[in-house]
Amino acid sequence: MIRPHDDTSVAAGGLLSRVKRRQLLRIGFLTATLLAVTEFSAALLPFLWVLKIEGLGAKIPAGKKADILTKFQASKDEPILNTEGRFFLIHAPGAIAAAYRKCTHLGCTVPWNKTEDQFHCPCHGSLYDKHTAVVIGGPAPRGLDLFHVTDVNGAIVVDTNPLNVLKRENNKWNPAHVEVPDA
Amino acid sequence: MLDIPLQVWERVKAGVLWKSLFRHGYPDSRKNQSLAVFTNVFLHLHPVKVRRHALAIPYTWCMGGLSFFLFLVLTLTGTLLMFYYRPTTEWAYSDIKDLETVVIFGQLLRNMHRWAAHGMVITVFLHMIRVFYTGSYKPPREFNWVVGTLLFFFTILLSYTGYLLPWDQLALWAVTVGYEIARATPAVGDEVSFLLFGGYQLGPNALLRFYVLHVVALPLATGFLIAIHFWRIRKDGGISGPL
Repeated sequence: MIRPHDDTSVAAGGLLSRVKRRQLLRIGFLTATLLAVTEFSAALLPFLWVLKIEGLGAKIPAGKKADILTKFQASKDEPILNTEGRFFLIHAPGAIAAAYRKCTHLGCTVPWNKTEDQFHCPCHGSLYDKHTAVVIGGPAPRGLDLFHVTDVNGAIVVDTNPLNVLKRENNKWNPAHVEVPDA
Repeated sequence: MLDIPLQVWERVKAGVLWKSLFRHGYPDSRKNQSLAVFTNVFLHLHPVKVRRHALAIPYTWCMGGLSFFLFLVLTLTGTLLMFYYRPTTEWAYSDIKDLETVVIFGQLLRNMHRWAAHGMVITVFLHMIRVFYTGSYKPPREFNWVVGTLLFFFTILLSYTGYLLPWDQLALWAVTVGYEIARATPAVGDEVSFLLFGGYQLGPNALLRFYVLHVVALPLATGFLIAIHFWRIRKDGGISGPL
């Protein structure tokens, strides 16, 4: 039943006396709704934050070290492509390294060009060296970034986290970047 | 002590932004109260006035409202689960396991979805019982009773299609039973089950079909019927009263 508010009941003193019955219900309902919405929103971001990374970003096994070295020997150090982890295993001076297959110019996927014996980006013609993946031509500002590589009991594991790479601003092979020696 | 916040509140309410959102103040006359409900997109489905007996909880036990609430919970949690679930035989089972063990709040959301689904079957059933025992299915509400039975049917179908999605042994054999039941359809049994499950046994097609039915077709149909159901309650004279 709807009745007009009895304004004489609003006595002076204290907030509660000023809050009428309907307003109290309204405030209670709105507070409960707001609380539910807040809780839900607070749970949403952690839920959407992916914990299990597949492909690029994961630690990807790239094969046995001995097998990789044999392959290099048989193919005159031709880089070995890993599509899942988006990298090439390259035979750098004294090391097995993993070059992130993303052109440092504008992010195209860089393929290995067998006839030219170098990496040749199809977008704007950046060229990268076969062994060290540093720039030898084109607009790219620096060599391909290197992923961190570890030797786990003779098996090579590549950490493909693109936020944690070895950047080579000076475009030179740095012997300090040797993480898995080729001997 | 409250003077300053109250002054700020008054100034906010006098501002252009507030006036564009809420065009008039708290409706204090009966006419304005009716208008506030009529013209509000969120409230217009609700009757402007509710009879006093309709508010008595022991009469309805709020079972219809609870069913609708659970439907909303299911829509919300289900939408979130869709972010991590892939309806393929390769991924379905492991994605559910990841939801249970890897995804933050994944287990909570999955359990909310599951319990709300069980709860909705129960509340819809109790709602039907209440409507039956209070004679609320009688004219002029006979059409809404038909809509209601359809809604019960859709609730069961939603549960059944959702049952297959985890793609575990329980799901597989429970739905295999359904497959055999569909085959018992007179004359066209084999064709019906072939069409529903997309094959001669449960496989990738069945999983995908059940998924599409579960997340798109059935919720849409259910939502549509719910809107009609609520609208008809009002058109048929509100919640039925004691005779």
